[in-house]
Amino acid sequence: MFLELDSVGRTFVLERRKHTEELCVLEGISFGVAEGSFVAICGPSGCGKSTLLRLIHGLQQPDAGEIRVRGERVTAPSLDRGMVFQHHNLMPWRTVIRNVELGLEAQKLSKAEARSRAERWLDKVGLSDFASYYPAQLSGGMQQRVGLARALAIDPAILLMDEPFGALDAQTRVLLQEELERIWEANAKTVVFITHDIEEALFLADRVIVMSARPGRIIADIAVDAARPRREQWRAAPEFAQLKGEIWKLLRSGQQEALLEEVSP
Amino acid sequence: MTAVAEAASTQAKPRERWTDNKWVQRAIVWGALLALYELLAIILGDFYLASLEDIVSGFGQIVEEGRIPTVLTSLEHLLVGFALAAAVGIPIGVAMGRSFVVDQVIGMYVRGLFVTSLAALLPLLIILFGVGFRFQVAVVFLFSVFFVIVNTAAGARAVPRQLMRTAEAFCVSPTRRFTAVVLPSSLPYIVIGLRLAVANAYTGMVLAELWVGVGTGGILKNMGQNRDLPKFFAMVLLITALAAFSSYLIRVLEKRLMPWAKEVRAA
Amino acid sequence: MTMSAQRRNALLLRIASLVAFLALWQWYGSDPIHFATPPPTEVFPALWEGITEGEILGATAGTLATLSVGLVISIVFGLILGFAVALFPWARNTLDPLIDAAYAMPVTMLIPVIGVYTGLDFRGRVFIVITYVLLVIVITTSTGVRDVPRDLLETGRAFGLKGRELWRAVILPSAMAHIASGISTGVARGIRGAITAELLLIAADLGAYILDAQARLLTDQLLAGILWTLLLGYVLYAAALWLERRLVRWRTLGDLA
Ligand SMILES: Nc1ncnc2c1ncn2[C@@H]1O[C@H](COP(=O)(O)OP(=O)(O)OP(=O)(O)O)[C@@H](O)[C@H]1O
Ligand SMILES: [Mg+2]
Repeated sequence: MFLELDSVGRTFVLERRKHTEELCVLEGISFGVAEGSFVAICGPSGCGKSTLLRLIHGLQQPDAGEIRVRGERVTAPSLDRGMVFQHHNLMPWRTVIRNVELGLEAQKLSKAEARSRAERWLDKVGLSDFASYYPAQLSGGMQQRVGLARALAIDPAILLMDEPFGALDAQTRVLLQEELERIWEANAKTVVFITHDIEEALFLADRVIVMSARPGRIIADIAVDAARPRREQWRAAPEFAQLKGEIWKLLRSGQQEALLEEVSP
Repeated sequence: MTAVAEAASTQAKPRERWTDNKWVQRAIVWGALLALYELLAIILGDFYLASLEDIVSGFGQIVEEGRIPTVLTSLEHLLVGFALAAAVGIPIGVAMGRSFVVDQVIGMYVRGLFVTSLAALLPLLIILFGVGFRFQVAVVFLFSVFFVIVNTAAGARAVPRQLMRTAEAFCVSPTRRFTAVVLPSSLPYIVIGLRLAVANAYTGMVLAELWVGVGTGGILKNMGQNRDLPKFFAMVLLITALAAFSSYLIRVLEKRLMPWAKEVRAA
Repeated sequence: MTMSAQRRNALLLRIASLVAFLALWQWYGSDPIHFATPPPTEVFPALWEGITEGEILGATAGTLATLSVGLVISIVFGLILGFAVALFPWARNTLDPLIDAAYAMPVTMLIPVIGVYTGLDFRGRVFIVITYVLLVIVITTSTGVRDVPRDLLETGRAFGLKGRELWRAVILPSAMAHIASGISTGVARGIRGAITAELLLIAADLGAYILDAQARLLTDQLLAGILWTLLLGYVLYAAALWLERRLVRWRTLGDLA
């Protein structure tokens, strides 16, 4: 497997005034992702999705289990993995183009090469006219697109996306979803995409992994076999509605299970 | 640990050592600083620095020599000047924050005097007010009033527009709108203004008294000239404690009177 | 109201206010009872005379020299201390309370004794400027470095930046906003310190000009000196603010998101 998670767990130790508290966020997460495939992860808020993505990237280390990329253990962040954050996380003091160049600075590219690469990706997300703007001068959707361009510009083998369209209105979201599908098809990256929007997961992914509420565990792994490019027809297909209902039920039962567990320790 | 330190360090959490306790660190560093000071005081002699024991006994001497009533008189000037500054500054600040015309007409003078060096006005104030009570109060007033005005205006300007709209939609009368919306939401700013104002009022008080050589400032001047350093440093510490306490008092009042208030940044 | 109409009204109101102020001053000052405050028609010629005869400009140069030396020293040491407090837990735990305590102290109190340590001349004045400015720089620097948003640090790391690179691309630019505003405030406090020293430590430069006029009861020259000093403080602060806005332009942009 290209990307493998092997019973990964993560527990946060919270230091209170007098004692310490342990918060188990992820438990026994195992799955593999084939090269070039698009996996969506769905789960209720607070179940550890963002944490899982940080672990895969190497920004944090798991307390249990192991994560491997091409068979090699992940121990630190790497430019082999590009991250699109839940909140755009653009540097407010940098212009759009300079933000896209952020990851290229660590890659020891020449200035001119970095600039032309950044320009190319900015163009692909449709923002070449805004290169000299500051993030505060862009709309929320544009900011997310800059974040996407920044991650794509380092040409990572794996693209990690954390609810990148979560804060957007429905129309912009659909537009960006289509744009992402297009970019993904053209570039054949491996994508791990977090969302709590079931429709978004089904529209984009080859596979939807469903997580339970905290502590986050995998409760289902569902294949989505629809032909690509999908466009609008797939959203209207009866299979789409059926899968959506199935995942919806899983999510609800997962949440109830966790609630029951919290009541009776 | 701060975010920066966290990012710099690795993930693994180092074992806690006894030197990580901040009180241990303070005991060591503060102790070392005091020892260093004491050593310097001994080497340099009375004329340059007062040793710690002498400063401590300096407190006693201040009380014995009957300096405390003088300090209280100074504080009275401070209080009068500060109260005047609050009484004048808050209404002007609100007017500036809520009215475009008022802001344009007096804003430039207020902001100008807020940032510039008011000490330059002292020679004029002496000619106008003499060297007594009125002079002292006027200086304290001038040194504090602009902090009140500028921060109050910032608060009044920052009243959330939605709140005003809601009040208008419910046909709340302008006076009620003022007492129910404008004042409460600018209060945190007013309090910050008052806190900065009181700190600056102390500077004004000392400055005015040093200038004419009366009150607490006069005492400091004498002690300094006579190189009576133990008493001088004791006095400085006393006034500093009073200044810190005044600012603390306003903070406590704020917490008491409006527990809902959020932290705001000073203008 | 459109933007430009509002601006025009603001300008008109300001001009009207200035004219009214001068007229009021003229009316008040012309009354012989108010001999201490001569009218603008006497003050401005005195100011002009002071400037053309070089006295005011020379004094201003002296004040500016005190201010700039004090500022530079404060900024250098303020940055060093500020970074130390932000970066080393030891420095933070032990120095933070001391800085707070020192900040509460009305430093003018020290004027009667510092002459012995620094001399009453240039060094003494510079020292007072430093007591006015240093702590502001320390505090803004340490909060600036400490308050770098966590998300942005993480983003930097995610895009392969470490160590020096991370400082250059994330920590310093973020801290710069605080530091720059600290320096502007420092300029305003510094000029106050300089003028206070020139008036109280020993008469010098602009302080001497004012005190001399007071001693000789030349009230027109006195007001001219005061007016000039107030304007100088204002202009210096405005310039610092302008520079600050240039330096951290992104900070003043409206947040649309
Ligand atoms: N650095 C941390 N320290 C302590 N607790 C943390 C930390 N990061 C995350 N948590 C906790 O872990 C849990 C999961 O957080 P995470 O951000 O991974 O959730 P999420 O699934 O991404 O939620 P959402 O859908 O709302 O973004 C939360 O309860 C959170 O409080
Ligand atoms: Mg999340």
